[in-house]
Amino acid sequence: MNISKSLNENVKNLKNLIDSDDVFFYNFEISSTSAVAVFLDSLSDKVLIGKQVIEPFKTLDNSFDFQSVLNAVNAPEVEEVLDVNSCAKKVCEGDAIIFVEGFNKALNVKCKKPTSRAVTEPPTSSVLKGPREGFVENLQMNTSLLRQRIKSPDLCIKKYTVGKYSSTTIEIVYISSIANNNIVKAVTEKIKKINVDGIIDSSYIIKCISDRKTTLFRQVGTTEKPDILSAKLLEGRIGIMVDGSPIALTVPFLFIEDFQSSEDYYVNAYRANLSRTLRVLAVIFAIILPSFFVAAQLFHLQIIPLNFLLTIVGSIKGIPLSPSVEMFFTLFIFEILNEASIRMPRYVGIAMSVVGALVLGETAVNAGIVSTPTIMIMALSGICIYTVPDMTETLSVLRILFLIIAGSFGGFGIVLFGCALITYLSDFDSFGVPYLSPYSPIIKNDLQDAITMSFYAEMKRRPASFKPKNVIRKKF
Amino acid sequence: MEKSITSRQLAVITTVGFTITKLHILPASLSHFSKEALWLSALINIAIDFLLLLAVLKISNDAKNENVVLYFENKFGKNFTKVLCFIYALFFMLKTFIPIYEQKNSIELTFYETQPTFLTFMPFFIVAFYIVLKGVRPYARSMEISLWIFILGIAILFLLSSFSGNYSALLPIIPSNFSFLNGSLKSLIWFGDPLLLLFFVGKVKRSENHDKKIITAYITYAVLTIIFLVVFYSIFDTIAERQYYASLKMSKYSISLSDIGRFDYLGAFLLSGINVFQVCLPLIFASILLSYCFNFKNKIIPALIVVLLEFIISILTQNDFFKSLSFIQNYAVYFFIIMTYLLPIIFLLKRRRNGI
Repeated sequence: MNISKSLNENVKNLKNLIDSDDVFFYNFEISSTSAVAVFLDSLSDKVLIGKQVIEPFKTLDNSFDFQSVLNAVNAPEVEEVLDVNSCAKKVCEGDAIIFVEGFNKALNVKCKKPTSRAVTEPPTSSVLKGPREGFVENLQMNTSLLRQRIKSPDLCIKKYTVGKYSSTTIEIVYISSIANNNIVKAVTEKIKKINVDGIIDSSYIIKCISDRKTTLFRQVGTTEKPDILSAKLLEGRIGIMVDGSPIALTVPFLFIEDFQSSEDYYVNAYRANLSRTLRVLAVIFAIILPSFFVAAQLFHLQIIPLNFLLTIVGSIKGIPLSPSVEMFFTLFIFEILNEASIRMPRYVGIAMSVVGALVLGETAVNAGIVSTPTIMIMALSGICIYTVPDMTETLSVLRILFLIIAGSFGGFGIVLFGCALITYLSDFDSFGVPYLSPYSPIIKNDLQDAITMSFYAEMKRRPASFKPKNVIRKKF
Repeated sequence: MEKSITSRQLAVITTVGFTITKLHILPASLSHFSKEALWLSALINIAIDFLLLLAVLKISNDAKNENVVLYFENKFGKNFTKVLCFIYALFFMLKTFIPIYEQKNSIELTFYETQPTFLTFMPFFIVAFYIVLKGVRPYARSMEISLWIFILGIAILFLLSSFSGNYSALLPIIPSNFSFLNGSLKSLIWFGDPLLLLFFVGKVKRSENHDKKIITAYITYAVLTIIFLVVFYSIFDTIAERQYYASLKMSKYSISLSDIGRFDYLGAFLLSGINVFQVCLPLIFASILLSYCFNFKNKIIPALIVVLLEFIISILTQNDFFKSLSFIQNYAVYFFIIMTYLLPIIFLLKRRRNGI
């Protein structure tokens, strides 16, 4: 619908399109010609509209034209709009629209009031050493945090608006002289194809751009920290930032990334290697240990050392449940405690720990419902699962699956399920990059920063998995 | 366009896949026929296989970017190629019978001493179906991951067993009679693995030193196998011929096991996992060849046929494995020799129809 020369008609049309009480229609005059500024009371910066838009109009004389109105505005982002639908859209995004009697165009002034919490350390990735800044819900702020770290003209930021109702701004960020064009193109195409009602958080984007919609495994990297995003861009990855979400996304994503922490790059390489090895072992323990313990008790007693076997025999005496049911029961209690502790108010937390650890754990053992080794194994598995926080969702499901299989088919069942998992993951690509890279296919250069990492001075080349345009990372 | 695997992946398959199938019944069978000269029998077969490997490498150089089916078509025409592919599909299914049974028995007899067991082995066929369905590329990548597991498993096995042997049991190095030649013939069915590499032709993104990589991998496999056989016989000596599933029994005399339990079973579990992949390789090729022969539109039907047939064979012969093995060693071995050694030579010698 085109903008007409009649101010009243334009206002009426706009009111028909946005039937909302927080839309503010401010009537004023420019040299005795009627004008209306339309903006959202809740989103727009009224002071800015007053001082930088309406006040300068007072300087115009009677013979003003539209260009002089445009020039008079003191705001950096001003453009003309020709149809009412666009006006409505802009108003909803927090801009101000100025209609002037006698002109069949309107003025769009960007004046969204930044509403954002302070930049703080993200709770999901706190570090002992290294930067503590985290992304916030404001996209502009997040972009500035990124720009502060990469002050290069090669840092490309492409904006898209996604979501039929939410009109969420999404930024695809990459370093043009490093990132592979094919990957950039693939990501851009996927973002453009998104056709949903709304993007409330970046996790919606993950679901939309993932190749496998029903998989248990992560296909897109996430980070709340600008330093991590910058490092990943410098390796040749593509970042995606979403307005309203403090979590940035990175693609392509490799399985090995979950085991890497930003702190690994800020501490000594020896310590980093130790930490990464521990994380890998912890993940294996977290998913295999309960199932292996059940399989050993049910099918392969010969695996358990004699002294430990005698301890187990002593502790399971009188316990009515079979080993697998006993482990399931303990896991069930553990998952309930976990679920409750995440959502409960903080002040109940201490009481919950006491109830969980002492009352349930100790009483269950004393009552002869579960054995001490089972509680110990489950506790160890429970702790191990949190050594790689981003994998918690995947690991907790895998642990249950392994447990069912071990209880039914024993150790060989675990082996078979492991084989099926390896095959499944081997068939997985993330934006054309093998998911299990650099171990499958083996990429020699990328093994420098995998489960083990080389010294910083030795990592002279960018990861070859992403086929970057510029391979050399440093020369010394 | 077919998805490709790398030269390195093929090299890993050569080392890991070829070695893993030699760790079960082969050592006991070789000991039965060749006694202390078991390693010599194995060496003869490995040498013969090396010639086969060279032939396969020559064929893959000739074929350039053609896959094996196109290569056959260019030499023999479409109709004969269909017959050839069907026979090879059947051959691969029959060839898999032994490794599946080795796997099944080793699992049942060792891991599940007190349980009713065919049920515990049945999930193997489900996983095999999944692996066959996924095809060559995921298989090759899985084998690359398996390389690390293989190194860990074989290290546990060798560390726990190699110090318990009496190596003088292998003397004299050169035996006075030639029974080891009979041992070679009878154990031939466990060899002939380079034939599998023929069916990778056209699927490999060849690196500059492709042939060198494969030959190095083959030599590594040969060395590992010979060392394994030597350690095996040094431990069991005269009772070696009754020690089926060698990899599961070799380390049980290690004194450390009394403190840490049957830790060696962890190694055995790891190796049994790799065996699952290796058993599936001929089945993958059988499925691909069947698909070509009968123009199946999707991959599910040939994969299902192949795995179901293996399942039925396993059920039918579950109590007669050693009778079946004896039949294969005495009679079917000649069919094996034709399919594995003779036909590739014919492929190599036969000129292309268009004279290229």
